Amino acid sequence: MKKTIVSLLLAVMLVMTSVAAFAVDLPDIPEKYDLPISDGSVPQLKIYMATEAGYEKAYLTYDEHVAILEWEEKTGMDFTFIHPPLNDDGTFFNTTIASMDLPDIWVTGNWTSYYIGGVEGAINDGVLVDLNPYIEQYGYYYLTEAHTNWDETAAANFKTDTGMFRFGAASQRVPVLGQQHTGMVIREDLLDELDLDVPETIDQIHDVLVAMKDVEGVVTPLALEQLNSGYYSSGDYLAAWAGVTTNGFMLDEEGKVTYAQLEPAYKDWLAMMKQWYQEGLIDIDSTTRTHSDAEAMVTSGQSVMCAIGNWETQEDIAVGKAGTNNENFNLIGLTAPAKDEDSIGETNGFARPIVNGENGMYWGISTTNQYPVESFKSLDWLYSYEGTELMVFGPEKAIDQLHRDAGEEVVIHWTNEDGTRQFSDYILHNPELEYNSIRYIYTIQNLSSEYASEMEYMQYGEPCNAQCWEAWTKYADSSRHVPSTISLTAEESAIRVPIVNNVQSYVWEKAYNIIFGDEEVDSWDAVVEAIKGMGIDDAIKVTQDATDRWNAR
Amino acid sequence: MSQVKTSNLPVRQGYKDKNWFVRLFENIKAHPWLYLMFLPVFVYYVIFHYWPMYGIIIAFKDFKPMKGIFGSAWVGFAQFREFLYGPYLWRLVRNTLSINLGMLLFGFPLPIIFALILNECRSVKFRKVVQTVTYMPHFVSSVVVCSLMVIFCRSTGIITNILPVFGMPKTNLLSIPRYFQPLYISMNIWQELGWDSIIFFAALTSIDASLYEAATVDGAGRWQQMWHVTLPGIAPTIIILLILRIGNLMSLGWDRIYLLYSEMVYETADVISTYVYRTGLQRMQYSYATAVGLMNSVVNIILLLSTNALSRRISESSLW
Repeated sequence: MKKTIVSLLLAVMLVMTSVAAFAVDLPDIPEKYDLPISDGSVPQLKIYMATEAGYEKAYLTYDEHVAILEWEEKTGMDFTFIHPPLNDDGTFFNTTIASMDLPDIWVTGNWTSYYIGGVEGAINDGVLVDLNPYIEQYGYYYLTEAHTNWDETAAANFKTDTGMFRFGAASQRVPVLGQQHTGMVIREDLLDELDLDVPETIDQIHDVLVAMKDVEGVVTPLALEQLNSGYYSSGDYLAAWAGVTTNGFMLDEEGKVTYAQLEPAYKDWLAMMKQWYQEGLIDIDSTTRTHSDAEAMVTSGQSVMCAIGNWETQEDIAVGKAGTNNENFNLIGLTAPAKDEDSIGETNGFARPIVNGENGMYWGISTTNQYPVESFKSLDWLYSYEGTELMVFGPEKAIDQLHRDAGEEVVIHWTNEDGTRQFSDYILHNPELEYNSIRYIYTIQNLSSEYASEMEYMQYGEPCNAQCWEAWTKYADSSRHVPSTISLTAEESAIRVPIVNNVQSYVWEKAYNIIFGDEEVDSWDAVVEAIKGMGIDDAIKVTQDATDRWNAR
Repeated sequence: MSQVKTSNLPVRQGYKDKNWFVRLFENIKAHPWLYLMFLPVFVYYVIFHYWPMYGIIIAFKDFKPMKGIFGSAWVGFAQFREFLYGPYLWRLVRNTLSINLGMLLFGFPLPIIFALILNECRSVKFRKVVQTVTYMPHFVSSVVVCSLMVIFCRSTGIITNILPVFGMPKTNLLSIPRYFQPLYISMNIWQELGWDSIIFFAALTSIDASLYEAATVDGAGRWQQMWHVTLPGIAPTIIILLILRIGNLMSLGWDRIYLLYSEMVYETADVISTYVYRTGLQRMQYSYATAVGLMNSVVNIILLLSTNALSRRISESSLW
């Protein structure tokens, strides 16, 4: 009986998978290629790729990384790396292109942020090769993954309006899929100490911050960082209650594209922030504060609330216990603040729950690459089960890279009988390095083609992670955001980019001057007129056109 | 550097009538070692300053790196028009000028005054210690100096903590637009005062000692000696440096400002070079950024030529 039920379930899953696959328009899976891809005839290929925190404890460059060495052995290729500086603001990326001394392979999400027209713009300009023909001809593993796992949402995100595949974007799997991955946290131990309820509305948050302002050691209750940082833009925790984002383009209640700073509700957010500053709940240093500084303010007891990512929750609590010398130190995730008590339970539409394929990573091949087929196949292999496992979990065994001279082999991961993968204690509880650093000595996220469920469960397995996800995701949807994977044509980009460049820095400057300076909130009306004068309506129009095309995908 | 208008140097008969290249060849033959020493400087300027100038062309094009400078499409003066009719022209020019004028007004005379004061100091040991201490900051990296400045000026910084003594509220000084320029100018003066005064010390040592003896015989006190001997003695140096400074009135390095500013103080801190950096290197609008930079350079050349001409007329000291 049990076997029959299992068989039935498997059959249903198979049918559902097939239905999903048939619903998506995909090329046929091409013939599988042989490994190694090169017999040594391909010379060294240069890869542009950012480093991941922790790797520097063991390596100077990725040339020596154990996962890269194994990738080279499998494919028969020889890779060398160019690493942009940490937190590159686009300067290194852009000058690398301008130098015309291009790397052979690009592993970066910078195209969307810094190249006018994104990946398609780079293809049109002759920087990158159009990989669609390669995918159709050689993309055995990529298309196998697409046929097996993509639903219509994934397909919409993995392809652009022109049908270009976003090669290199990682698949998001449970438990991360659908979760709001960043959000606000507050000191739970202080809530208990002051006998306060967990705040749910923006006014309740205000009152809690006021109450906690007088706690010993607290300097600024809310540790804000730069408001245009990713941590705030991914949730708009402080502005969404007013019905606006702080990041420009958004959808109005009828689903039409508008620019948030033009909306009357934007002034409500400004007024609240100004009031909070005048009451000493936030401080002026936030205009230049980095995320790690904001975290440090909470973990040292100078602040009680900030925005974090769930990958930081466990560590922040541990550091907070030590930093405040308080064993009871604990952080609790907050739901997106509602406008008032009557609005509790309504979704705000400005969250960013994780959607399959929405990350901006792209694996590109330069037009100057003399071996595009071999390069493509090497990258495509990373979509295979074996390739994904190598980059997500590292090799099964490797020489201890923290003590390379000793030459001792350590276990990195193994596969359980049920097929799930498991990191060893060496990775999970390393006495020398915490998990988020040690794993990047053996794994490479930028070359991972999926966020593997087992790995995510290991990272987010603590109750504090579960609580944060539950709270942050509770009222989260992204219905008011312009889809992040819309694609603008080269002409549209040429119109939008200069306007947005001018407008963005202008509105932040003016907003900061109102919140922290002498300007009054009503002076925002003049800002609205000014940004209209800068041509924001033209930028809205081309964004609307691109959104319409995205909706029609 | 200074050109003496009434030269007493002997001019060989018929020398001026010869072809420029012939004269150069003869000169090289006469002073081979001097020309050999000059060669690296010449090569440096050709490679790094003159050869890249052809890149100015991209200011008139829609430059795409893969199409190259000559393959990219011509757009005429479109990039210039975009800047001239854009929202930031006046602010960028105003900030660049006001910061430079502040540096000229305070940063230029202070090293002269400092050199004159130290020159009057009798203790050689004390003078050398002060000189060393004051020019040491010049060797500290801009990144370090600016990082320290950012930390000192935070709401909880050392400098900020002094503010209540003067009845001012403790606040992040670098986030207040009206404080940005004075802080920037003060930081630069602190870092460059000692270094900038070195050239004036060198000029002071070249003044003929007999002039001081003659002044003493004539009954001049130390103040009068400084006024009538020392200052005129270093005047050509002062004028040359002033011309160079004025020639750079529209130039300001982007790096220090970039390290200190934030959106909150763009109103007083954003200058042409930081704008060029943001639009050109961060946002990849190479042609637009080049057009802005080119306009800036043209204004600088006009300023340099005008100041040089004015100086030649007034003081008989000039660059050429």
